[in-house]
Amino acid sequence: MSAHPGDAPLTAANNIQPFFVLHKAAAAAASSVPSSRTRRRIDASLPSSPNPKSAKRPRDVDAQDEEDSELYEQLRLEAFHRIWSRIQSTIDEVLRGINLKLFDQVLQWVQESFSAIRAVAKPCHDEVRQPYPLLTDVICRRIPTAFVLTKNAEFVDDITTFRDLAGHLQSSGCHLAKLSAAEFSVKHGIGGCFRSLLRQLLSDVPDVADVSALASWYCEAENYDQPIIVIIDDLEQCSGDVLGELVMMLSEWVIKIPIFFVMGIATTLDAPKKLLSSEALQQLEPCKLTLGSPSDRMNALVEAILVKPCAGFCISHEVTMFLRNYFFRHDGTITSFISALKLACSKHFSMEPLSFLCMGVLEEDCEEFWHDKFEALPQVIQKYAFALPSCTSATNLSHSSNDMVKGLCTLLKLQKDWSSVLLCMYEAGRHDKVQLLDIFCEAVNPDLQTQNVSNAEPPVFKLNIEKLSGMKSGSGKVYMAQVMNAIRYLPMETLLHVLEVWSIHLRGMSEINDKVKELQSTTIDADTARATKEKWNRRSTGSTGNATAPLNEKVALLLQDITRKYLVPVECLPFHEIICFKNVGVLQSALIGNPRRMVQLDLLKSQSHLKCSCCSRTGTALSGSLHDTSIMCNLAQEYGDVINLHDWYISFEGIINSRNSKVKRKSYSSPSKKKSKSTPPESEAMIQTRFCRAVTEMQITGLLRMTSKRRPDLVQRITFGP
Amino acid sequence: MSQPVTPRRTTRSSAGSASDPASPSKSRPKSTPRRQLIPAASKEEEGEDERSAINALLEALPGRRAQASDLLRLLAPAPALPLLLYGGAATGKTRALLLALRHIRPRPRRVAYAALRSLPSPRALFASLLSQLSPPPSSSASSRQRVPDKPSDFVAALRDALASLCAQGEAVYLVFDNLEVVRSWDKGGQLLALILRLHDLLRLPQVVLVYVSSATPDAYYSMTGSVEPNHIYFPDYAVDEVRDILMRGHSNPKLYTSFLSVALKPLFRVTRRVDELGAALEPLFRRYCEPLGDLKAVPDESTKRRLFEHIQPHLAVALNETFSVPMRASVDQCKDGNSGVKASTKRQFGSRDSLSTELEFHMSVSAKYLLLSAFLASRNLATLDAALFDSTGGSDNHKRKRKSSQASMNMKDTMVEEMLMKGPGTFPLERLLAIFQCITSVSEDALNDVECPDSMMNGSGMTGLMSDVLLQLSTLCNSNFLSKSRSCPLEGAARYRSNIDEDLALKVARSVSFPLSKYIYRR
Repeated sequence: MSAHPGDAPLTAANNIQPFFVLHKAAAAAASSVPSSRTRRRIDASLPSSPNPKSAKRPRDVDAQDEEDSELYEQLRLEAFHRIWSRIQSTIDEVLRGINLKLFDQVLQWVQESFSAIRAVAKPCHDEVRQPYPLLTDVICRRIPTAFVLTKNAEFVDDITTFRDLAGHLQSSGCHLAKLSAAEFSVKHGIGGCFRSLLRQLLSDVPDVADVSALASWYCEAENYDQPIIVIIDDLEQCSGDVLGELVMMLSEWVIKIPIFFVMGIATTLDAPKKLLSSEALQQLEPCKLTLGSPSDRMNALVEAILVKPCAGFCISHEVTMFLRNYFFRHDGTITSFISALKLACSKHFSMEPLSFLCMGVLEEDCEEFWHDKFEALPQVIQKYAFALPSCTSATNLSHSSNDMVKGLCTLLKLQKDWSSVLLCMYEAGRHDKVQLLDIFCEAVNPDLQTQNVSNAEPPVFKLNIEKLSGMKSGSGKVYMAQVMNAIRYLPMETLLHVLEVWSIHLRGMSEINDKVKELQSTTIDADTARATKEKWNRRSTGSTGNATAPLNEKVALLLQDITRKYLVPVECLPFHEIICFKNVGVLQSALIGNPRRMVQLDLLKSQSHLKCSCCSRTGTALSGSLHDTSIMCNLAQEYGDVINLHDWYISFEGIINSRNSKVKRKSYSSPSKKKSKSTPPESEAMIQTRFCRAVTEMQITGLLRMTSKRRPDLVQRITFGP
Repeated sequence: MSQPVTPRRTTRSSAGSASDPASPSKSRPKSTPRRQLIPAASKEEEGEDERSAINALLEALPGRRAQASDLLRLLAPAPALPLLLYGGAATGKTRALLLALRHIRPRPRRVAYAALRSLPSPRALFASLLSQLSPPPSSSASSRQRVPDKPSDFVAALRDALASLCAQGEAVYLVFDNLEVVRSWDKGGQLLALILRLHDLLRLPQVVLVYVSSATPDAYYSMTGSVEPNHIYFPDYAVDEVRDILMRGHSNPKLYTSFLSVALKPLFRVTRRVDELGAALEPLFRRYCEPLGDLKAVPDESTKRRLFEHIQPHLAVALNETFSVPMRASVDQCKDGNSGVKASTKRQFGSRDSLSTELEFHMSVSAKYLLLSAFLASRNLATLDAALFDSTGGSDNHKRKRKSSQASMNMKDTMVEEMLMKGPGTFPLERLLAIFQCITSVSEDALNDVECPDSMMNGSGMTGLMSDVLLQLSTLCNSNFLSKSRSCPLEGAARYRSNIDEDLALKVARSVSFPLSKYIYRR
């Protein structure tokens, strides 16, 4: 690793440093379970590796340990695959459930439109084949078009939605074609897009594609009695002219060949108005359908994966906050949220030695499973288990497998209670438009526990709420306070409904469920008589806040109570490290990456990675033995946003020459190192070549760019800061 | 030029024997549709029947009496000159032509119809015409190879096909519909010249060329130098004619008349196209009938008044809306019944202001900021950036500038006016990023206070916004909020332009609570 790149600058074999620099981050991020060889190399380059196991692993481990670690690595890999596939299937199920409602609406719309068209005229096969239009009394021929608002400017999430929609419609008998924006390009024109439409419907596309080919295909007996649906999933990206032409063309035929459009719109309904000419627009008979918004989907996903412990994997508060921010601020797609979650999951299983125990959650008898596994654990790992930070605080543990299993079981039990209570809270807050992700973020906050303990005295509600929303906003119970407040002003019917849902959520917790039942029964007794009067009363005066019904008060009290008792964040429980992923830094660097900055940093601090003998002595000063690009990058720091090439070259040449003279002096002392190849002072041409190559490399890695052609003597810096 | 008058009577007899024993297997697939088009002719006798047929034709074409009789006169004995039907869209040109072709005597031997709008390329046009003139034999493979590529080949092939047909002395009609479309085709000019000169090129007296176009004849004949055809002009319908057309086939004419007397006049001022009117009136009529229990009932005066009051607000909305997209009511929404209807109409009237204050779709915060900075970069002059985005946040400087001298103010006024006339300006990526950085750094503090009380979030908060800015940029380009020009030949870098209007920009700004108006340069 301490090779001097400058020694033979033009031989590729010695010249691996820039590539090493470029590839390092990718290798660490991409391979969740890297082979031990690469891991060692990465460990060497990342002295502060977050993986305690591999960092601790000495170079000369004996064969037994090596074998064990191989075995456990295998186990963890298996656990990852099983658990992730469980999570993935849950995700799929949830998303499909959300989409299914829309799909059924689309299908219903298709059937209605089809029968409407057939009510106008039911042309016989020969009539359909005629090139001239059918003479009917209908005045306007308009193509039924469903605009599906996807409600997300980012398109990625909806690719699968439209694919599933296509499958759904196809399975119910419609003919289906999917056109994407690429087919509506100006380059290929209407012919190209019509041909690809035909290709998806006809098995044998004629040489000259026109509508009559479609008509004669449609007349075949097996095709006749179903509409043709054309799905265009990204309307905004289509070329308006070509789409308009297609619309005009098909609208002439719509009575003979019932073709309907389903168009996905990412932004607003203005999009088709802006895109299409008014003439084409008049040929559409529009209808608006909406997809669930991203935050709705998010709520459903959070409920299914994170709140309900579906697979025994969860994430810590920090990670949750990071993912939430990533979702709202950067990306906003469910797809990337899921991939981030997957990344977190894979990191967890590759880094946490005990993570394979998560598999127990999926087993029939988890206690049995944990017993077996824990007994078989080597001593080192057993010790590691009880040295987990969460266990050191709980002092009454003797280091036996029973304690471990018991700990894990209570962990699961408490998690279950936690999720039930959280769902109750969400149910109450849902009427006040509180998002589950927000409450979830607060509920996993480990600071919450400490607050709850300190708040143990019987609460004076009004004060408490104010305290929570005002003074304690810094510690983040804003949304929970909002929920508590919302309960007080819920109308009676909603409150009853909420209680009903609670009793479902709290089924596993009998004593609380009893309390809920009790509340329900009292309301039914008391409220039948005065319900209506009471309701109106409260509504009129409700805004003052003093006229809250006693029942609302009671419900709020109950929620307050169970929140305090059961909403224990997972990070406050012993052994949570086994199932909970906490390392937000790893996730962040893997997701956001910031590759250009990393390249620059690596170039600037290449000594710390290479650990070569020559540079360590010189300290901070630039040494000529560095790689050319690294020298150039260091030199570039002295300039502003433009660099004068000539000045840059002069200083570069200076460094190279100073080093050459040093080498010459050194070469007497250590001739063996130079392999009997005494380097003459570099020729001007060679230095220029190396300079050019270094500049090119920096340009390719995106640290530099050429300025306009008017100023050929300057280059522009793009990356700044250390 | 006027030779084709002779074959008229003789062809009557041969028309009867058109399906001679040799041809039926050949022309079977095509002959039935032809009969569909000309159903009346084979059965009816001449004289009285012919007159009644003409009456039927006129009956089927309300408001088109003059044009229909012109058509019959100009089409019937195969004329010497081509025929051009022109007039605005939806004035019944194609319909009149097709109906007239049914009624003319002698019956046309064959009609080849090419709607240029539904043919994506010249080749498709050639193929379609040739296949209509000579129905392909059962094996379609051979016909596929014969589609000519070059116009000259096409003319030759067309002449061959027509010659065999014309040998029997009957008229063959070639109809080119939507002729105006060809002008926008690739090499459309040449093709148009070819189509218009077919009469000269073919020199077959029995071939009748009929063109249908929404553009006037001046658009074509000034350039080709071909013979000028006979014209028939189809003017826009008058109100009464439109009413007659719309009235056809209604189950309750009394009710519909009272509806049209209310709704047609105002809408007719907006558009005269029958199809647009039909589309606009249909939902209105449904609204109109809403208060009625029985759709068959004949409305009396008081009912009419009630219905008028009911429809009037909807009418006002419809007049302002060029393209309305109704929300699809799901089943459970329908169950809400009457209470919902009133609320929804009320909301519709006030909708422009109240409903649309919220952004209807989801966008990540950084994309929103990027969109805002693109909007600012397009709206403001680049020279003002320094003033608007300095450390004071811009507002102070802005005021100071307004107090400058009258002359400079006038100059600035003209500059601003010019800017508005030009529309949104373009900007390079660097300027966009610089503005983005400025406005995110300004609002960072506010965001941290409001949205993320946890101090630990700062690390992953706004400071990280820059990381995937190019991805967001491509998202915005994909959703047409920004458009990207090709790289400028002088400077080398691509330039962008924001396409959003101020309404949307304000909505976006509101959703991230960003003081956009502070940064827009106004007079």
